[in-house]
Amino acid sequence: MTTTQAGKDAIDLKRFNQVFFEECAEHLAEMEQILISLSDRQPDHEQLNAIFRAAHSIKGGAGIFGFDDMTIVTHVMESLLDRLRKDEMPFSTAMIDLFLEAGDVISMQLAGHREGTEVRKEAIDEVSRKLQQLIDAGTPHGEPCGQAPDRHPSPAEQVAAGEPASPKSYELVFTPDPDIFRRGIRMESIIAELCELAEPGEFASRALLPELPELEDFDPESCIIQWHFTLTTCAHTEQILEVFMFVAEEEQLAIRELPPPGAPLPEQPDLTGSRGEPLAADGGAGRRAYDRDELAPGAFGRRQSETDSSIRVNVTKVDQLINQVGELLITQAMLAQIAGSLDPILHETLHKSVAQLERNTRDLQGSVMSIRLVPISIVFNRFPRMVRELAAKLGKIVQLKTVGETTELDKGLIEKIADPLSHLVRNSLDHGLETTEVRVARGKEATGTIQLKASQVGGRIIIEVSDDGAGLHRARILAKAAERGIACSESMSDEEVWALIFAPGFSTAEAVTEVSGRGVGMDVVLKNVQSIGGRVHIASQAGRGACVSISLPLTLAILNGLSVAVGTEKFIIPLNSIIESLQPKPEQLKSVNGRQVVQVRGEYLPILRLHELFNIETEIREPTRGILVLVDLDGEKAALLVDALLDEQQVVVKSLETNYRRVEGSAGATILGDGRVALILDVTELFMMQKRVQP
Amino acid sequence: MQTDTTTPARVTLYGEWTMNEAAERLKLLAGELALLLEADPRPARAGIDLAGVASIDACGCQLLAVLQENLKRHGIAPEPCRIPPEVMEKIRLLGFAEAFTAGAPEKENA
Repeated sequence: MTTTQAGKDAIDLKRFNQVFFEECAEHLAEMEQILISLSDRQPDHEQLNAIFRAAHSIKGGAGIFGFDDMTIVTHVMESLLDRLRKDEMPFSTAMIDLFLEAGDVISMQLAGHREGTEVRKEAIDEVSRKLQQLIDAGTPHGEPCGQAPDRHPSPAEQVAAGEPASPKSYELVFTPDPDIFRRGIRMESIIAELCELAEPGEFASRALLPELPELEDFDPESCIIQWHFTLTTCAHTEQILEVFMFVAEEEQLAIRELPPPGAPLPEQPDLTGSRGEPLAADGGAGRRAYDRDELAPGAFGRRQSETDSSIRVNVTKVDQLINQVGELLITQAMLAQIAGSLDPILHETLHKSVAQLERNTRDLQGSVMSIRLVPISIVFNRFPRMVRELAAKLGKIVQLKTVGETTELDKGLIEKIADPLSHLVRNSLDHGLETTEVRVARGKEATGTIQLKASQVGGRIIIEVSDDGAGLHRARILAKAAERGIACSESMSDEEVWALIFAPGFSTAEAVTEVSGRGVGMDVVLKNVQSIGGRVHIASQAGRGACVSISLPLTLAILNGLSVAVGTEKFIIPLNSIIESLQPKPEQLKSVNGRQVVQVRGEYLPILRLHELFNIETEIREPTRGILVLVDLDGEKAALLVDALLDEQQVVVKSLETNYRRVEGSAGATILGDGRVALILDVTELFMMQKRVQP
Repeated sequence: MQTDTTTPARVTLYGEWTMNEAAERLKLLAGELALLLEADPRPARAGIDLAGVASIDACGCQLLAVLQENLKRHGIAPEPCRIPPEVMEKIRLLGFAEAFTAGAPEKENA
């Protein structure tokens, strides 16, 4: 092996580790979600199985991939959960906190391996000790079959209602994938786990080489071994198969029960097949076979991810794909433009083909963009625990409601919105919601409510964090702003006053608590949200609560736009903000407070002259000679004056700041079919620009 | 070609015998095998000294098992020896006990 090859393999192993890391994080999240959902209730059998399964999967994966330290806590946790689900000891609500603590420790270990962060050994020892104490306290005397730490009740055991299970003998044949070594799988861990299930001295392992290669031609990293195991165990078949859940496909594993010693030998299928031949016996085996059984212990909780056929793909590959589709869209637009200049009769076939190409690229773009969309539940799921813990710390009774968790958002945005949302939820908990005593005294329900709501409105995602607390304190905000030297006055509207809290370092919190109130936050929230093309809006009612709305673009990469002409320039108006376009009649134009407005169905809309805002020479200076494009943004409407409407098209958003510099009123730029650059208008900024020009 | 039935040849192994070193170890073994096959007289037995083996995994066990089978194919009886206890324990667990303990019973309790 050359050094280069070795380096490549090291990367390959890293890739497989990454799969384990991701699966481990998913198991931890799943475990936490179930634990939090319990509140103070007793988990049902399915929930216990799901938590057990998560712990077991982490332990199995950690052992296989060589992260032995991660098997310590999971092993004790798994043992405790196993006793609980077999009703060998009672469940107590204190266990929820302990399991959550254990989950945190495992997360810490995971982060240690994944990101090289510090791992506190004392935390591992502490939580292991606590878990073990519970096991010891609940262990009944006279264990009937105590060697296997992971015993499941066999069907016979269940029928016999508590009768000790009699050990059974099994034969397993495992023909692994030739790639198993390269995947970093440690067979010794798997076999050791299998051995743990066996009664003392009742395990045998035999490795056979079905083929005999010449040494010099042999690929030493390719596995040609077929393993034969025999074991006598109290564990049932599913539990034996679980050991192989990370490594065996259905056709690679066969298991059969052996008759008891002295019993006549029934006809049994030969489990030994040559490599690649199906070896399934006893109803099939392996991870997939295991998961076919909906009633199998621990089946709950895996169903969604397992039944959905999916593959993991690195995000950079998806981004690359999106960029390429973006370039394809530009090329398609160029072709369309060239075709547009050709005679439609003479070049009918070309025109048809270009139209077909446009449909295809549009479909392709939709499919590709959907790859990056993930449900916002990924972010929302972190809050139940946070609220639970912070509420306990603050001595408040709080319920968290989530609405619209299935709303999908670009993965890149999801990652960036998590921190601002955490901050808003902390703020609501700490400063928004009153203490129980105050709430009761004010005639409110003792339990405060925080609601996280996500919805898609047009081409944007709206995320709201609301509470039924005291609301924002107008006088206090104004006083604090004045104290900090921030320009403010009593005549400011509520909305303007609420916007003051976005000033750097602004905080009205009377006490700096562990939760929030350090005076750093809302400015960072605003900055983070704005950095991903979002906007923040606050609504508040004294004594009734506050609501912070974050409006985000669905995606940052491609948008549907209407190209318009102003003088010799072209602009793109995002289609999702357009209501309609019209050429106004003179009687529709009015003047309100010295500002020209257009009357449309009883509404008076301000006219934003793009040529004025962008300082462009044009002959079309009056609305009656041009076109008014009516836009609506979060309820605020206006009419944009343009010379002409050109085309509706999908445009690839290119950052102006990266490639040129920031241009006020634009959300980026795009390359048009003729190769020219067009600004994509940011309607909100246009509103603000207009207000400055005509206050 | 003559066969030397009296003096066993010796292949001495050191270090890690795991997946990470497999390609390098193969080169070493292929070289050793070539030397044994070219030797005149060709030895009837080859001692495989594992005293210096620090650790082994399934990939390493497989490689050594393939070496032994290749030796047998060419009429040389492999004789693994001086296996450190912890290495032997791993070999047993992985199901290679038979290959590393000449004449041992097939069933090995781990």
